[in-house]
Amino acid sequence: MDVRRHLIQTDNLTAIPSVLAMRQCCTALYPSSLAAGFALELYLGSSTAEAGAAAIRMLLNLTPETEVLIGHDTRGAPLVQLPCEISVPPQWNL
Amino acid sequence: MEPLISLTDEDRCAAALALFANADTPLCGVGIDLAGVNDFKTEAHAERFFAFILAEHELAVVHSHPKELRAIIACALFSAKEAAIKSMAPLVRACEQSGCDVRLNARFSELELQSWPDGGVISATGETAEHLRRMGVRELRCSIRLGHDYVFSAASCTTDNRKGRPVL
Repeated sequence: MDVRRHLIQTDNLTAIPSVLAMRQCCTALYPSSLAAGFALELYLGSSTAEAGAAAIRMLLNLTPETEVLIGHDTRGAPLVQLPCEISVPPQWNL
Repeated sequence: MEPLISLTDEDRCAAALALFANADTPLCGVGIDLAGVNDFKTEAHAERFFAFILAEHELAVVHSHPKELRAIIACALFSAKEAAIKSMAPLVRACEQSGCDVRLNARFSELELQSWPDGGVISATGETAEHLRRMGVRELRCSIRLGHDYVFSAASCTTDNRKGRPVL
């Protein structure tokens, strides 16, 4: 798949808030009292669908072969269709 | 168990957030947004554009800063509202599936960020406030991080209306 994963901290992307900063942003909003855990990933890809699907696979511990469909709802918002029921990935020890 | 998921993309860069909400908590939706600051450097139409996306007191915040900072501030405010609107998507879908005649018609200028620059509560005014009340939105919150060229925002939506029935 033509998708390269980049951590935001790499030198060529300093114009963007770091992944660490993004995660801190989420930690403030989704405390343990509200959420069992969250994960956030950032990808550069040839398309949003590819990058989004890759990020979702990474987040949910899905194999590269697992089909993740990125569609849009009637308002144009991204809609993710997962092929199976998902459990909390073990690495989400947040 | 179904995760809450939000995606955002800007210039072929995509971020994805997945979250498992605790049972019996009011959290019903999450949203993230990446926005490019350059899109807000619209010299010719900036004022009209800003008036379309910003509430009055937000416009005052923008204008209280030097001209070179106005684009990034407007970008951050817009991004926070985008994330907040995304965070309401599961509630909107639940309303639609329950067959009720409640739809989200949020005007950007009727969503107001109450504190700057880190984020906080986003309140609604006018018709947007009525839409949110009917959907059962309890609170919208956001958090913002600035970069030189891009802004990242995350938002949460809480509700007392998990079944998506209209609040009359």
